This record gives sequence, C-alpha cells and structure tokens, in this order.
Amino acid sequence: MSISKAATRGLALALVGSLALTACGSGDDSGDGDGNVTLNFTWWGGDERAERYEEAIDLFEQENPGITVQTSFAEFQDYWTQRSTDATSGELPDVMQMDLSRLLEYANAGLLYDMNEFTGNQLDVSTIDEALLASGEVNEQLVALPTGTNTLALFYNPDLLAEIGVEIPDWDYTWEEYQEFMIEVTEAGASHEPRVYGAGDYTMTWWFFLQHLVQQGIEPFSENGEMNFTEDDMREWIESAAPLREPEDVTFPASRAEQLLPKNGFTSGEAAVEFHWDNFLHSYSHDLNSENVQLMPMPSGPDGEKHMFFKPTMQLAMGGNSAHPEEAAQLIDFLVNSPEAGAIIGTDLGVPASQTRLDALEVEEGSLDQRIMEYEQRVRDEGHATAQVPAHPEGFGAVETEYVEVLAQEFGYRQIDADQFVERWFSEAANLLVTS
Amino acid sequence: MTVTHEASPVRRAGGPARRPQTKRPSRRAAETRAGYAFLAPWLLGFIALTAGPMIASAYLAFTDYHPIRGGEWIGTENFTRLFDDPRFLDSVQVTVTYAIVGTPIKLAAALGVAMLLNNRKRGKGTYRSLFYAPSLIGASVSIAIVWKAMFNDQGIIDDIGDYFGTWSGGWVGDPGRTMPMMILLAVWQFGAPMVIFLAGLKQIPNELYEAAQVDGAGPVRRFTKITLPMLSPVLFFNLVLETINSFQVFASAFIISGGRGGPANSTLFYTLYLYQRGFGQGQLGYAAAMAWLLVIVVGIITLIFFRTSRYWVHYSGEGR
Amino acid sequence: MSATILTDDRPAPAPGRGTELRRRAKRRRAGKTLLLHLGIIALAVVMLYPGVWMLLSSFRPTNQIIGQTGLIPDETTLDNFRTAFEGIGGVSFWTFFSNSMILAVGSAIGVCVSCSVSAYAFARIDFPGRNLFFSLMIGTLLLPFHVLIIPQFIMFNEIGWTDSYLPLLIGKFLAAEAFFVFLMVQFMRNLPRELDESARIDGAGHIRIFTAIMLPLMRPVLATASIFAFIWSWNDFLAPLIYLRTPDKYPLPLMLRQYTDQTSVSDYGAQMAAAVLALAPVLLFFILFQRYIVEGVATQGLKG
Repeated sequence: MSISKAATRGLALALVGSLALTACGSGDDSGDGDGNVTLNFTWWGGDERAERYEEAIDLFEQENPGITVQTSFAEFQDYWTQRSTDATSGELPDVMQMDLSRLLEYANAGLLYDMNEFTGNQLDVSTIDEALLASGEVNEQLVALPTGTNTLALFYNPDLLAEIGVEIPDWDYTWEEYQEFMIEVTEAGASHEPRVYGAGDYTMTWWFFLQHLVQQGIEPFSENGEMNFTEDDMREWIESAAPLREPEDVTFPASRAEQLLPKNGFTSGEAAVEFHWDNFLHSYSHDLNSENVQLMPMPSGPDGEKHMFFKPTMQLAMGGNSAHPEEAAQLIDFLVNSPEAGAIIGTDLGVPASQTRLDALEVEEGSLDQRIMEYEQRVRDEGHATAQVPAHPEGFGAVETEYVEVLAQEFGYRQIDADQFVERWFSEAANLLVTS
Repeated sequence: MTVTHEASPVRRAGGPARRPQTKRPSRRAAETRAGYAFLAPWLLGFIALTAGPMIASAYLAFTDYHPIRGGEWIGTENFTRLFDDPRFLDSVQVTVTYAIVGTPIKLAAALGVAMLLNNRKRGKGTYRSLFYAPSLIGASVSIAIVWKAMFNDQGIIDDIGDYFGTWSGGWVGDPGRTMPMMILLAVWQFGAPMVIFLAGLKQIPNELYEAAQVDGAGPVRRFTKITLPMLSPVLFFNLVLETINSFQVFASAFIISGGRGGPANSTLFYTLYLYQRGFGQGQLGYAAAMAWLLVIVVGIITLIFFRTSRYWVHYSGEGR
Repeated sequence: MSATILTDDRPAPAPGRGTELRRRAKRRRAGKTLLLHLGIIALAVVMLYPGVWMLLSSFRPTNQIIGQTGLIPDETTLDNFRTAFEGIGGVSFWTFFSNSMILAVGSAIGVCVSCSVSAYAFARIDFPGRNLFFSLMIGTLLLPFHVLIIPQFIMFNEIGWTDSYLPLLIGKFLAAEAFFVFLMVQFMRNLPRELDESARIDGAGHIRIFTAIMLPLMRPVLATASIFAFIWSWNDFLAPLIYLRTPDKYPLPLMLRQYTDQTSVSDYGAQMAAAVLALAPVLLFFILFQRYIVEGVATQGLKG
C-alpha cells in the first residue's frame, strides 16, 4: 500500500514538475500573441551544412528580433521520408529545402505556398536569372526559389592517389578509361591499410544513368512525364560496368559502405574517387578532414563530348500551411539574397543564383569556393555543358529512391542481377511515375 | 447467467420486496443504464478507435488511397501486387524468421533461468529484478542506439569474434548477421516471460517432486513429467504473448537500420515496410492491405495455438 | 559439476560413515550453490553489460567510444552531457523532456480514470451485452495494433489533430488499452462482494460504490497500471513519429532519432549521453517500484 501511495505521489509530482517546465518553456517558443513568431526550417545535408545554416540563422534572428527559427535536418533519403510523412497530414515546415525531383509532386498537391504575393516586398527575385527562376514556377505559381546552380563532377583525393601511386586520368577521359582507372586503383590499394578501392559501382546511381542517356542522345523524360528509355537501355548501362565486377570485383564493397554510414567510402579515405554534385565539395572536404579534394568533369560519351548540364542545386520552398508566411518569405530572401548570409554559406548550396549574393561573394585564393567556381567556369568555357537539365516528372524522386536506395543495395550485395534490377525498377516505376 | 443469483440476495436483504413484479424491470433498466454509463469510455473507444478503424482499414485495402491524391476502389489489386512484391516477401521472411527462431530461444532462456532461480532463498528477488530490467527498456530508442554501437565494426561483439578469429567487419553491414543481432536483442529481454515462469513454478507443489524422487525419477524425468505439464498453462500464455509481440517489432529495427530495413532488406520487418509504404510513400491503401493480411495471419496463428492447446496444455482441476 | 562427481566416485572410508556422508552431502550442496551463484552472476554481468557500457561511454570523449570495449574510460568528460542538454535544432533538452513527461503522465492519468470506470462495469454491473463486450475486449488484446494505425491516422488527420498530443492521448482516455481494463476487472472480481452488497442495502448507487468503496481498494492495481502506462508512453516511438511534426512538440525518443539522423560525422558521445538521459526516468521508476513492477508482471502477465 505504501508503494502505491508513493507511486501516486510520484506521478503527481511529475505532473506538477512537467507543467511547470512547459509553463516556463512555452513562454518563448510558441506564442504569436506578443509578436514572437517561431518558424520551422528544415534541410538535408550533413554537419558542415548545418554549421553554416545555424550561423546564418543566428544572424537572421539578430536582425529580426521576434522571429525564432527552429531547425532540423537529415540525410537526403531520410529527409524525404520525413517530408512525405509531413505531407500526408499537410503539415510541412514553414521553410524547407526543395529539390527539383520532388517539386511537382508537392506543388501539384497544393502543398507549397505561392510566393508571388511577396515578390517585390519581402522577397527580391529581380536578382535571379529568369530561366533559373522559372525552374521554381509550377502552374503559374512561384513555389520555390533556387539557391544556386551545380553540375556533376568526379571528386578525387590526390593525397591518397599519390600514396598508392596511381595517376588520375585526363579531362577528356571516357567511361572505359574510367573503368581501367578504377581497376588500377583497387589493385594498387589492396595492400594499403585500410584497404583502398577506386569507387563504388557508378551504374547504381540514378543521375549517372541519366547523364549516360543524355550522352546517347536520349532525353530521359518528356515534359508530360513519359519515359523515353527502355528496359534494354537500363540493362545495357548496368552491364557496361561488368568488367568492374568480374572476374574480380573491384567496386567498393556494399557491406563496408553500410558499416561506414553515415560517412561513405570516399569521405572515410577508403575510396580514391567518387562522382557527385560539385557543391558537395564542402561536406566531402569536411568529412574527409582534408582541404585537398579536387574536381574533374564526367567522362565523355561515344561522340567524345560530355553533354553535361547545370541544374538548380536546390530550392527553398514554403509549406502551404505556414502560419507565418511573411516571416518565412523574409527568411528565404535572407538566405537567397543577403550578402552576409552568402559570406557564411558560400557555394555550399551551389554557385549562388542571386546576383547580389554572387557579387558579394569574396572568394579566397585556394579556397573550396574558388575551386568550385573555377571548375564550373572551365566546364562552361571548354564547352562541356551542352545539354539541358532532364525533365523531372512527378514521381521522379520516388523512382530515384527505388533505384539508388532499394535496388542498388540489393544489387550491391549481389542478391539480384541486372535483369532483376531492371524488371523491378520498371514495375515500381509504373506505380510511382505520374504522367499528365 | 450468474446475474440473477447475485442480484436476488440483495433484493431480499434490502427489506421486504414490495411489489416485485413492477420493481424488477425498472431495476433492471437502471442496472443496464448504469452498466452502459460506466462502460461508456471503453465502448466509445472500441467503436471509434478499434472497430470503426478496422472496418475502414478493410475498405482501404481495396483502394489506392493516397493522403493527398485520395483514392479509388481498385479491387484486389493491392493483394495481387503484394504477392509480386519482392520486398514484401522479404519482409515476411524477416518477420517469420524472427518469430520462429527468436521466440523459442527467448522462452527457453526464460524458463532455464527461472528454474535456476526457483527455490533459491538468497538473492532471488534481486536477480529477478535485474534480469527483468532489460524487458522494460529493450524496445526503447536508447537501447537500439546502444545495440547498434555494440554490434558495429570495432564494437564489443566484433572484438569477441576477432578474439576467436571467427567474425570481423561488424554485424551491422552484413545481411547474414543482422538477424542474429536482432534475435539477441529479443533474447536479452527474456526477463518478462521469466518472471511469469517463476510465478508458475511457485505454484507447483513440492510434494510432487519429492514423491517423484522417491520413485527414483531423475531430473530429466521430473522436468518432463512434472514441471512441463504443470507449467503448460503459463508456457501457453507466454508463447501466445511473445509470438504476437514478435510480429510488432518497430523502434529497434527502425533505429538500427536508419528506417531503411537494410542492409539488403535483412531488417525489413513487416511493420517497418508497412510504415515505409504507408507513410514514406503515401501508399496508404497498399499499407492497409498489408495490415489486414497481418491481422489474418496473426488470427490464424492464435487460433492454431488455442486449438492445439487442449492436447498439450494441462489445467489442474477438472471442468475448466 | 565435475567436482561433485569426483567426490561421488571416491570410495567412502569406513569409520564414522554416517556423519561423514552427511557432511559430504552438505559440502556438495554448498559447492553446487556456489557454482549456481557464480553462473547466475556471470549471466547478470552479461545482461548488464550493455547498460553499463552505455553509461560509461557517455562519459568518454566521442572519439574514444567506438573501438573501446573495456568499461573503464581512460579519460572522462562531461562534454557529452553538456551537448545533450543543449538539445538539438534550437529546442532544448528540457522541452523534449517535459513533452515526454506530459505524455507519460497524461497517459497514466487517462488509463487510471477510463480503465477503472469501464472495468467496474465489467466486474460489478449486470447488463445485457456485458459478456459479448467482454469477449470483444479480450479479442482486442490479441489484435496487432498496426491494422489500426492507417485508418486512425486518416481519421485524426481529417479532424486536424495531427501535430498535437490528442491522437496520442485520446486512446488512453477511452480505455483503448484493453490490458489495463482486463487487469482491473481481474482485480475487482477478487474483491469481496459483500462490500458493495452492504453498501447497496444502505441505498448507495453505483457511483457511490465505485468512488467510495472500489477506488480506495483499487490503489495497488491503479499504481501498477499507472507505472506501466507511464513507462510505455515514455518509450513509445511509432505514434509520435507518425503524428508529431514540429520539433518543439517531440518527446525524447524522437529527439534521439534526430541525433542518429543528423550527424554525418557521428557524435556518439552526445548520442550516448542523450540515450542515458532518456532512460534515466524509467530506470529511476524501476528502482523505486521494482517489486511492484515485477509483481505486476508475475501475477498479471504484463509485458515489458
């Protein structure tokens, strides 16, 4: 009986305590009564990006007393699972990073705020190139603002390559030469401690498949969302890298990659190269803990051209349900246009889309920012960027996830072969892609 | 019905029953009204939170309901898709393996330790509490984080493996080892069934063992002829409870695999896949079909348990 | 084991055979007990290892956690706790903590109120349909709750309750946790009938009988139910994951999830410290009420 009394008393105490705690807690975190506004802001990315955003947000909060910004972030795939659960109840964050691959899905469902009502006031869009700005317009609504542009690149770790004594190919390399290079690195790195590989299986990344299609003269999707490639195209692509898997498997082992999460082979210093979007230089350099990461363009296609394209790196969008749209627009304007925020964020969100921010960007000699900008300039100057961004139909993000997350992993663990990969992808895509 | 038996003495004791013919129905009506009034919270909850949703779920299973786009009646398409979905089949395999392998090991550990502790005077209470503690926290996110760290590359388990020269490279990245890892997490929580076994063991009269010893029965015979039959109701209870629980693992699989069910679907528990489809992809109709299938399967398993129980569950005392 | 077999096999010396045998049997029993205890202690060490390792890891510098399997840290630091107390994403640890507390205490109260009332109807009132409802309630005990998640989610979404605590608490206030109803029905059935019968003679109605007689007697079972309701709610992950959207409403398990999600260069130290902090109240509860909790499991078959 005494125990039950103690339990009752304990519960009562706990209740009183928690109420007291929330009473003091809620004074500064919710109410709009006294002019205080709380915005939720969420993005994908790693620690490096988080540090930049948090610093920029501190500045924003200083400049705008009365606005508090709560942040959360996650890795890309997890981020979209979380947004999807948000969307199921129509409760998206006030401000969120958006990607072209999901834009239609969210915009067509009416989940995003039309920012047109703020342009010219809270939101200055005159600084952004018109074509780029158009990438955020859906159904005549301005639902997303681009933060910058990026393009694909091959990242390489010169120090690691020097250690094992392998040279990086020239800029005009082909996919075959890239394969030879991967084999060479893995062989040379076998005795290195820890063991060094060339890179992961590049055919397992959706975007390189698209790049490959573009190089073949195939526009992956038409505007209305129809697929312009066949099962054979995908199978040929996957099998084109067969020399990397047999007789000896030189690709980065799937189990090791799983073990290294949340890092990857490259950022752990166990893979010498890796394809990615060029703005990832910041987080890769941060995770690898080395400034010496260099960039190269994609391999050339059969006609000797690279057919690369620039795409809006990412966008900022507002949840259609936002209770504080004006303040949210203010935050987006700050992140996109303000030179102070630009100085903090640099090129981590791509080479700035906003002219004011680009002009204000002071690039230090030898910095990562400079490396990215120089790389993009050279890609433009040498005429490698000749293609348009592939169309992103509704469901693009979902079929990408199926490709890189689900099937790539089963393939990586050698549980399915190329035929099964292709068959399963097409069967899922039939359910996931929305044609208009 | 025991109803009238219990009601009558009250009436009789309540004084001379005046005009019982008219009093009785109004009294019954009052009892009924009171009954439903007191039952109201549960009844409301049952209708609004259980029965209604179950019916809704059965309907949803035949639609392609999407939280934003809505949905239409698509007949049995979800079910035909399910049986063509390799990840669904993977998730069934993962869950069934976990239940079939994990539950017996967990119950065996629980029974074994319970028998060790039974009849010990000193320290019994302390050990009982100590072994029970993991059951209380085992399903929490905190423990999932710890488990992942322990079984990671360079974690303690890997070190033990290294020492014997058998395992290395971590368990988390190896699809062949994630299931043993999850089962170990389940077995670690053997405390709850153990405590129930202990309570059951206490009910077995010592005279039975003494008599058996006099008859020259060895420990094995005493176990199979006395302990097991006497304990069978408790064993049955634990078996049903643990089996149903094992179909519902979520938090630990979610945290350990980062919500993905990987590597290579090896921790893609049924509930995790249901979550991915329903909430990650918004295919709520598809997920509802999965949920109903689970209900049917768990229903069948429970039925089998209850049907077969009369052959092996021994209830002391006749007429139960 | 081998020691006892050896003594068994040795031929017994002739003189003083009876006393010698008895002494030997005693010694054998003592040896057996010692072995048993050693075995149990070894098991206890294995069982405790994860918890102790977690606790000690939370005091290690982050870079010394993975790859360190020994228990005693070379270096200790409180930095991990400092980081954990700062919270995550601009929401302090105490906000998460008090969210968890509100949900857990709310659940405990809801369960006590709704389940005791409904259990009274099952145990003490006769009305048509009672047996049917009772079997239905027992049936829901065996129902996998996942079948309810999706329609419940759609329903709560339609009435605009997502991102609030209502979907998480409403079930507790509507006796949806059949286990507790069952527990209380069993308890009440064991209370002597004479109590309410004599009260009825005095003209008391059900409300009087319930509040004045039953409730005070039900304190032990109410305590058990509230402890379990508290702990289950405290550990609950799936429901908050589905219903809550804004970080300042998250309970601790979602905060922990954010820790594992958000760090690309894992801050294991802070993760461990946060995990320890999240478990602390449950363990405290357990230490305070352990006999109660374990008795509850033993007699009522409550799961962990």
